[in-house]
Amino acid sequence: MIRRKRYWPHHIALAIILVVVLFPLFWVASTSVRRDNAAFSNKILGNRYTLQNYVDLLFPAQNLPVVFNDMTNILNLSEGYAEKTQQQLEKKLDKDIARVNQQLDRSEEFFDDMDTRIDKISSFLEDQKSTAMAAFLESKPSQSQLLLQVSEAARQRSQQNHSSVYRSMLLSSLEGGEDSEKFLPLFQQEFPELYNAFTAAQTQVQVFLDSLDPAWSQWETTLAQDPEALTLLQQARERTEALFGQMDFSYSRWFRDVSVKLLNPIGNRVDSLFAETIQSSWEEMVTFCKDTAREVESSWEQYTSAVSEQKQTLSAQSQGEYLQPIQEYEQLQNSIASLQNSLLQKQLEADELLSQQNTNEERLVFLTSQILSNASFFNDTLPLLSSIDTTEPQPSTDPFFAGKVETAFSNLQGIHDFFAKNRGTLLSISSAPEFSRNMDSLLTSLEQWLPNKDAVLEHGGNAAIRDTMGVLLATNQSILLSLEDVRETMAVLEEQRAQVAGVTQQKQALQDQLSSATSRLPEREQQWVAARASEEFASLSLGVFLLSQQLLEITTFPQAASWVNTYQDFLDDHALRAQEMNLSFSPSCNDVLLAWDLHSFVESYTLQKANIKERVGLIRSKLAAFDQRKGVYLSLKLSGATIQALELSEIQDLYSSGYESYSAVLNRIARKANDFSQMEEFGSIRSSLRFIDKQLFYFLQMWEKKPEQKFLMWLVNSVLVAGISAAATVIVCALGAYPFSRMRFPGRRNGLLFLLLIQMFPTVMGMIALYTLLQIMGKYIPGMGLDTLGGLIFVYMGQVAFNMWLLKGYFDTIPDSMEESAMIDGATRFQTFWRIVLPLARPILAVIFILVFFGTYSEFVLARIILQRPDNYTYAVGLQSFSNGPYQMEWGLFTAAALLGAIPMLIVFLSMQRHLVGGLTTGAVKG
Amino acid sequence: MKVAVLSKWVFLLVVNVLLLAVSIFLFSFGSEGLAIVTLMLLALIDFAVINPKGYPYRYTIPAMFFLLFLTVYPVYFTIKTAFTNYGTGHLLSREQVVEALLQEYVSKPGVDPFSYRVFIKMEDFKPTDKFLLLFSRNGELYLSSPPVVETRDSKGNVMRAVGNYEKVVQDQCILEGETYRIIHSFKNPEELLAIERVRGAGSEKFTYFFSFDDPATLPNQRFFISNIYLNYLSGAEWLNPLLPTVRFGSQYGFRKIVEAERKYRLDTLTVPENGEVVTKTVFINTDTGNMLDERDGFFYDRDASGKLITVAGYTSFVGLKNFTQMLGDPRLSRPFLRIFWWTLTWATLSVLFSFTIGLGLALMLNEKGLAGKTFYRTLLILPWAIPSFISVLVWRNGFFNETYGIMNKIILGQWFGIDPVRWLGDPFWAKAACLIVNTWLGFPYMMTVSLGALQSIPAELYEAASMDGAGPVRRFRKITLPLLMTSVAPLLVGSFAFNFNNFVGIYLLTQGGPEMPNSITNAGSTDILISYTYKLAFEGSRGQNFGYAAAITLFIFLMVVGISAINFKISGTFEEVNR
Repeated sequence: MIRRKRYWPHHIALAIILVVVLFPLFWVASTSVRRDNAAFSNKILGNRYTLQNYVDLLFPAQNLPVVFNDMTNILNLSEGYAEKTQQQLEKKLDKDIARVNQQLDRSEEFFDDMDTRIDKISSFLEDQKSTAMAAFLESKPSQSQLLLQVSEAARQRSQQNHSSVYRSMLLSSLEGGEDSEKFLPLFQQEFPELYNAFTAAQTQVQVFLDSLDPAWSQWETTLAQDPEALTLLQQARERTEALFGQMDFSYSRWFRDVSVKLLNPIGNRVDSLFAETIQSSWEEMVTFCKDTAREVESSWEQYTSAVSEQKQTLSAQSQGEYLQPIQEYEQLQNSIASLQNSLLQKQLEADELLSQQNTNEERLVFLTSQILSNASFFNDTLPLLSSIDTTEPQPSTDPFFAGKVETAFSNLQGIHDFFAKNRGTLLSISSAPEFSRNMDSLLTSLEQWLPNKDAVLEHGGNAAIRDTMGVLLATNQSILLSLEDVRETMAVLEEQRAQVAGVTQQKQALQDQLSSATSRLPEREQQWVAARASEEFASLSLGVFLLSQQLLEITTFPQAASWVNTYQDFLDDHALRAQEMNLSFSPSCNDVLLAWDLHSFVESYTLQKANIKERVGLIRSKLAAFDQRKGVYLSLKLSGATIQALELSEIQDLYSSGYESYSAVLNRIARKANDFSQMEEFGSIRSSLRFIDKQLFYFLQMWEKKPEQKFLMWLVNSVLVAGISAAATVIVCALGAYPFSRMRFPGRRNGLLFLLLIQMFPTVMGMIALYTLLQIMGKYIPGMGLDTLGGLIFVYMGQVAFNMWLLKGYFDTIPDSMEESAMIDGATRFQTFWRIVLPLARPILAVIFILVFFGTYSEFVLARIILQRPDNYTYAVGLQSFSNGPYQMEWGLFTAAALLGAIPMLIVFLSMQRHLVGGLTTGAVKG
Repeated sequence: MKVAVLSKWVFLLVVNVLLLAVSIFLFSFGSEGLAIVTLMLLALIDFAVINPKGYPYRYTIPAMFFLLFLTVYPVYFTIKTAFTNYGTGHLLSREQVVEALLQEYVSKPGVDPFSYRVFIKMEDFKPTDKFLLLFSRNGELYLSSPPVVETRDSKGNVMRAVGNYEKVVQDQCILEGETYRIIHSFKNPEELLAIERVRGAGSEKFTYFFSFDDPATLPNQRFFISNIYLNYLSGAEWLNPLLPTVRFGSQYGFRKIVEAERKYRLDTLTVPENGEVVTKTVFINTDTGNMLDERDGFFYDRDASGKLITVAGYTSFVGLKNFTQMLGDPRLSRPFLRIFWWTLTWATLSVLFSFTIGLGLALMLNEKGLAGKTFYRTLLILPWAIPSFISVLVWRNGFFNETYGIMNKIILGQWFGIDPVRWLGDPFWAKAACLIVNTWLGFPYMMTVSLGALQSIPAELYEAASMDGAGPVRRFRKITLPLLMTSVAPLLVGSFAFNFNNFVGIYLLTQGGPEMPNSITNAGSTDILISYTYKLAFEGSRGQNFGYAAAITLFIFLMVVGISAINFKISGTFEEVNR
């Protein structure tokens, strides 16, 4: 019974898998055509696309910087221009100049084209500004109301918590100058006595100024005949009013500035010009001024001293409230950090000591083992001792023999004692079994030797004994010398152990301190947070108050825009609190901001346009001058003189100093245009913005200095290397595999096994050998050494073993009968191979060609070691260099290069996949 | 016919002479491995041409040429290196180090150095290569002849060049049988203008050209250094039978000439060793009289406090030390074993993941009635078709970069709201990244292979099974899997072996990193054996260790041979070789 099956679950599953699997490829394709810098974008897809990356890779453009360079090269006769005649060079220069001119023309055209669009945008901007402003003014009262409420709320809250912090901030902000008057209402509320003193002082000033007014005017009429005195008087009046208006009024300053400098000279003039009555009235006037000024000063002084007193108490209070916890917390943190640091130091010290100790232990073991290796000597001579017992005593004739024996045995005793004493210590350092075995055997053989001193003395005449004694003495001595070393090392080791113990102790102490400090941290942190909060509240309430005061004064668009900006900064600074208080940005603010953005966009565009036009004009004039003199330059250069074309270097300067600094600005303008075009509000000018974005991009492409890259060269190198080595491998392998398949000869089986085994050997270390091989070859065969493609191809021929196996397997499947009949007809063995077997094996030859081509195309390890100059890179090495260093974030270029390199392989692979899979499975597995 | 025979022998003669000459040359060059390989090639050619039984070998000559030079020789090199300590600090051979130590000079303490003046023969007012050096010390002048090269090292660099020098008496000097006269300036007799050869090989005049102590000649310094000093004066020393030998002082560079003596000299020493008396050649420090310790491929000297100082190291045969260290020394064996374990895990998991996914897809695509099969298959095969180094680089740069990669920035961050993962910095996540990429690369192969195998399973089996009431799970377990495995198992083992040595999959993605803590080699957490070997050999951040790398290479070789043996057992490939 067959039911009709449903396949939609299959389709859904496959579709999901396809999306996941192909996502990386999709990403590669999409980033390669993105115009924005994908590495720094937060979107998976851009909205501006271009094929520029591909164009840059495949057809590097002759844009302005390239042409400038080319012209300099021509004049320097470098880079392939050395062999040209003057006419050729001149022709080339003409071409370059024409090209520059053409590009300059186009640059200007770009901007001319953009201008009409900018006009459109500007008129749109005017509308936008006026509507935004109207809406803003309408919403102003409600906003200022809102802000005042917020300020009040914040103030109350900060007063509840930490009034002194708030009050001391308020007091110090009064000294801030410009905005201080805006705080006056708050001031009155918080410090009534101070406020009263302040207003009293101000009233007094006012009264004084008022009472002076008629006196001034009277004197002005009086002195009308003396213009000089009149000017002085007017100055004195202005100065006085200005000085009295200041909050930090001081009598001494008034006296110096006005009384001495201005009033006294008038008095002198009055003396000489007028009658006595007038003089006395002048003096009266001056005294009045002075007296009142003194009074005013004293009341100001009273006020300021009260303020400073208040400030001191407040700051003392507020320091206790927030500064102290903050400082304490920071101190604690610092001390913890320094403790951690010194703990780390100690740890390092301990590690260092331990490693030294290890080295010394190793050294000790090494030295001791050296000595112990001589132990066998004592062991070997033991039979001699036993032989003594059985032979007759035979005293020595050598008068020094007794002395030698004495020394030898005392040495032996010394060695024995040392090892008996230090056995435990030495064994604790090395646990190697042969170490302890050797030591024990040394000890036992020494113990056997020691009691035999007398016997040896008696048998001194015995030749064997005498010789042994000689060697024994020498051995002893060398051992004793080494023992000195051992002793020394042991002493050093002892010392180091003590040091390590000391350091460990110190470390422990530090650790304790650290943990106690860390335990105190949370409490301090709490206090710190509280203090910070109070500080923030205080500044918040003050800030909001200021904003609301400013808001009331706004009448023009620039004012509104700057206010909105401040407002936004303020919100950013206090984001958390502001949200808490439910402050919402009113739509009118947004409109103002948008209009302002567009306004500055248009402004910076206009500025840059002027810059570029100026620059283009300058370059043009320099170029024209150069055009006229180029013949002279060339003939001078060709006659061997060292010359430098001033105009060219000036053009280069103009380019590099000018363009490079504002390319970033132009880029920003383009990006901005694109951002605007995405917005609903600018729907009506969208096409103009897009147009500007696009034009600027083309403009930048023409001017941008692009890094030189040799992608095409790499691709050609790769195809050359892969193609040649694949073809050669196919031929060599076909030849080599043929006898293994068709003939029976001694060594066939072993040869096949050898081929199989050797191709499994990892090649990493062999690369060093290949490197030296190429180094030698390169000295004698040009083009086959290091850093040459020939050498690389040669090295790639090392993969023949595996492919010979594949081919042999396929040859086996071709029946012998055809060859046999051909041989009967008189063909030689080689002819049958060439004419019959090879054509029949065409499919597997193709497979091998592709396999080797693929393998060498993507091989990069050997290539990277062998190739050094970027000119010689293969695609794989080149692409890797793209992914590192300066290109690491140039994703567009990288992915475009990756895609371009992958596409040929992709096409070949997909069209050959049937053969490939068949060849791999049948050829390799079934044989 | 005769011509053919004759030409055969002429060919043979030419080849023999040529290859013999090459191999002798290589021997003298110190590359005994290459020389042996050349001789082997020659033997093969001779055998194939002379012996009628060797006819089949004629076909293999080109292949054997490449095999011998590009495969056998590197293998020989690797095996040889595995038993030495070749690596940083041990790069030169013992002979080279001995040679170099004998060429180390120190100036005698307490003796003033000579300053010198260079006089050059001018032609057309341009300096030539003919020159004389005039030394001066404490007002006394000495004239010296250009040194003649006496010994060169194995690379052809000048080791020692010797000239003579004589004292100048009353502005006259007889040097090597020729008489020279010094010409003073009339205005200022202190100033020397030139030296003239008055008797001997023709009259020649050498003009004052350069002295390091004379700032006026500074413009000539470049010519002197590049044309005279580097070409003729490296390794130069000047002799006089009555006066001490002088040379450029090592602590002065080219600025001064000093009375120098060798830092080390050779001596013989008789010592007891293992109960026998042996004569050894040793180095003595001529200054302190210390004998240099020689052990573990190093020469050690002692300073005044008796502390050991390494003087030089050389490549020496160390036996099985590299292998015993690999498994015995905890500082080397711990990273090694961890890497080995991860290599096995990596290869197993790679095969497992890609096979599971590949098989799943193959099962889906194997449905008879499914529309668009070719479409799906073609798209799913794409990751296999792109050269893997490209895809791995794309994954690394575009996806796993911790700051810019879209894995952290967009996929995890924006779509799922997960905190950034340290893909290449954290050992676990780096391993995960390697496996993700390798699975992505490997499943299309598994899918293709499984699909082929599935299609060869006869449909009747399924019909019979469903007649007997077997459900889909049971049918899969009892029919599909066993039949599939018979043909796919060898490929799985082969894939395991491939991934065991999958250098690209690891090295291009993570460079083996992040670094393993507490390791004395540059072992990384995602290193597999082959990438570890590569790093040991080629990335010298902690010193190259070729010997150890070669030992690991041999270990890998044994592992791969083992795996392949299993593979051949399963597939029965080698049976027919015996045919």
